[in-house]
Amino acid sequence: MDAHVLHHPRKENFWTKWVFSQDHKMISRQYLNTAVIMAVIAMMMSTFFRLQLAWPGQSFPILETFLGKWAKGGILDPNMYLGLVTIHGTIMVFFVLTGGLSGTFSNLLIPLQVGARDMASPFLNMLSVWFFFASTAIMMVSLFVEAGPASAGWTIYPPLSALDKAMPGSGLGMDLWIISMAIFIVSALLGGLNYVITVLNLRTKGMSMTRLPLTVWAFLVTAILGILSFPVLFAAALLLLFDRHFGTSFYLSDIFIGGAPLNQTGGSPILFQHLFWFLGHPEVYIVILPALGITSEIIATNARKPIFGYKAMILSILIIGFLSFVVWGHHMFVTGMNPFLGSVFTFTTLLVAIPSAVKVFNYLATLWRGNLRFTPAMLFAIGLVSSFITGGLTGLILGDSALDINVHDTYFVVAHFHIVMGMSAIFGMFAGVYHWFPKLYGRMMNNSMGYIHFWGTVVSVYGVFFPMHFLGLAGVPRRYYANTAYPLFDDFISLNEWITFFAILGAIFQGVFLFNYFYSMFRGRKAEQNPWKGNTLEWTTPVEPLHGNWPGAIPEVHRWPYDYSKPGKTDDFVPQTIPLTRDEKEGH
Amino acid sequence: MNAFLILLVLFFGLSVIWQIIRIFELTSILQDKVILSELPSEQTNNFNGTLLFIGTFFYLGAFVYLFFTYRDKLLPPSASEHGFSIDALFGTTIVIISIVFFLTHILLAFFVYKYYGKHGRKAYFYHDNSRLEFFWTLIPTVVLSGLILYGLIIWDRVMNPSDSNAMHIEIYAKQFQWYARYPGADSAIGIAGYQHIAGTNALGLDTNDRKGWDDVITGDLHLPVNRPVLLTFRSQDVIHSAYLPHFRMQMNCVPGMTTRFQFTPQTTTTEMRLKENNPDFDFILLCNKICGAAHYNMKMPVVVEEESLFKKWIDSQAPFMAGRSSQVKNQSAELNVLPTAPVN
Repeated sequence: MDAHVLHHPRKENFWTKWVFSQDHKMISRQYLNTAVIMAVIAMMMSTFFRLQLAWPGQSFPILETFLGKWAKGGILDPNMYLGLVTIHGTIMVFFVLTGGLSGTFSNLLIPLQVGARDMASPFLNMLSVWFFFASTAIMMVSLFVEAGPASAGWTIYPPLSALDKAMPGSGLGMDLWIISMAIFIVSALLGGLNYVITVLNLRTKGMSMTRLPLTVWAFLVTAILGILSFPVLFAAALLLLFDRHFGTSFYLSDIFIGGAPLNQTGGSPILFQHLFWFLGHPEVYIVILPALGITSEIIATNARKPIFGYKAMILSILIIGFLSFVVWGHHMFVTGMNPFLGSVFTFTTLLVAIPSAVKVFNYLATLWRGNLRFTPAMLFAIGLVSSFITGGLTGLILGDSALDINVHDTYFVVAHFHIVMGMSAIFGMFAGVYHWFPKLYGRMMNNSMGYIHFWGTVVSVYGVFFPMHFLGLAGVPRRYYANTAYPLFDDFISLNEWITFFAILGAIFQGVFLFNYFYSMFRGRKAEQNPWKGNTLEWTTPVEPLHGNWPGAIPEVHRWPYDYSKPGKTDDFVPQTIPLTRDEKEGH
Repeated sequence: MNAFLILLVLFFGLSVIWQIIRIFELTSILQDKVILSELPSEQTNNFNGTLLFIGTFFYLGAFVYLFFTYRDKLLPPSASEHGFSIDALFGTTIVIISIVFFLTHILLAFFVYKYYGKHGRKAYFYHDNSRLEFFWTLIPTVVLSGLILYGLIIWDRVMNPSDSNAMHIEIYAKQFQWYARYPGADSAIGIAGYQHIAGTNALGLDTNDRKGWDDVITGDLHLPVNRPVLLTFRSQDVIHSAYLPHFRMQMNCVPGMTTRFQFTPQTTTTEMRLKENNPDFDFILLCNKICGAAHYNMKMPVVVEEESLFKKWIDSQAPFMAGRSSQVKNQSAELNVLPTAPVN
């Protein structure tokens, strides 16, 4: 297929245009909208369990409205508390920050920024979004199961998740969780393969690897991580299903439960943890790398300055990607794993701080002597730099095996990963939505509401997660329904109330975003072709999105994407499509 | 229905905000203040830059405030020998982290404040400096090497204690209860396995093993002060985690395997009560791995006391076989036939 000629596909009908579309831009919107709905559900869950944590045992009629028999008289059931925690984590990590972030922006930006008409395989791409949708639907169904949804934590460690006698949530709800996750993994793999192949094979003329925007580099490495690690989780989940129903004992041994010894013996629960975290740790980078890529692009565009250390940025992404595969054991320091192995994982884990520090310093150097335009997207990108620093630094404590002994599985961990991957990744996602909304819907989002959203969000998110460090250091364990039995933690009652206050405040401010998002989709001001004066190829496509992206030939690329404020140019940006003048040297 | 009404009110509330914002925008367009563009004006840039500047210092201030408010709770008081070396490592790490945290945030705050977008100004076209890049790769590498080395030395010391004649105590977990098993007069704990669990024999002691007859099983954990204890951990059903925050000790209890942790308690409960100026102070063992609905209530009181008091306490406890009839033996013998797994 000659990629340089626009094919006019057969006439689209309602189904092929809006539902089973093979256009990467439509698929991107489908990913985003599914993720937005999922995020709202998961956020509501978090406010529910935050109510219980701040005022344990008090009655909140709203809980009964939403949860019915699981909150009789407005008091949250301990089983449902665990269910909410589990599903909140699962939805946020997999559906919002993996499917929602990678799915939306890899789909939207890879073809547009490398100069391709569409993904390498539009059909597989369509399958990927529908598998994604199916997996979210199954997860939602699991909420309505008689005995409740999966409740063993988002890490579903067996034997708790393997034996339905261990807890009510380990019945049908757990099966649906596993099935949903298996389908999600199929979706992630179909998407990931597409992204890698598109970046490697469908770049337009002149688009060498060192002229790729950092977004695309981040998406590429993310997709490779996904392809290499998700199948391992698939295997782990499948084996768990076998243990649950077919009498195997991969993860079970020496168990006495429900008044009788269990017949399955010889397995190891630790095996599951190795398999899970072999995905689970790269997963953290699958979540954060796209956000960092988006931030690089948005900071450069809005600082009107080339990104500092382009090649160092690429190198650090690659090193982070590599290291992500050799650090999983730091989740298992206190499982009874051989202490020597603990030493090895401490060593590799703390190494991750080096490329991360390089990235932060490069962001700072990019901001230095820039001409900073504070669009809502830029504010969220700067917020990400702050949260990435804050959350990254506490990793030095958790990654150090000796220190991990005392803070393992406490609120310190909750604070750490919510800031470094939850907050950072969601800020990257918000930044991306504000910045590329014109490419998604051909309209602009409202800036004033964007500012209200940013300031409300950044204050409440830090208000929620920063104090949790102190709870964790004092030894408050995570996943506790209440701390009332522990006089040791009485000093933190008021802090817990503050956290819940900020959580509810944060949820309200997300209402501003949701309103802005859906309202602007239909009623926002029409966008210009290049509203942010960017250099990358997506801003050369027409405002009204078009299946095939460019009406004429695909543009040719002549320079790297970061020629902002180049001396000797009248404008402060030079799109990649502008040829170098005779004595001009390429930017880097 | 209530929820629906709330959503409806929220929607209309936001609509009103939107319309007010629109009116402001339209009036400012009428007054020729804003060019019709989504690019923020110089004023907006200045405003947000200043707000980021103030906000960052507010954030740093909040950190300092919380740090000093909860200074005494920043890691509960240590009561074990290795706990102090972990705390020293923690202190060093916190200092390094805080320096980097403050430095980067102050830089960030100054840059966003100083370089907010102005009309007619051009950014400085500057995108590479390999010396700078080398410099800020090298510094983290050096600092981290030190930190890694320090951490590994402590880890090695904690996990491989030199003292080999420690008192052996078994910690046993099941949903949702903790047990401690002491070796009794023979200083050795008896064989136990899940297939022997029956009736009152919750820990599954093999009644054919004489070493287990004098074992003492209790619901709270007493430790003699200044004597190394080797804790081994077993679980009956799912993974639990024995967490002793005051002793800087945590170890998972995993069904199918035995885990271990050795340490030396250094402060008695009485001493700690005086030190903390809190007559109600108690050490505690918490479950720190999600294990089911009552996970949050799975705990065991811990008492550290002088050797003589400890001896008095342990002598007052009944050994495992005391009062156990031959019926118990028969029962467990029957159960022995059922599963075919080997005894651990």
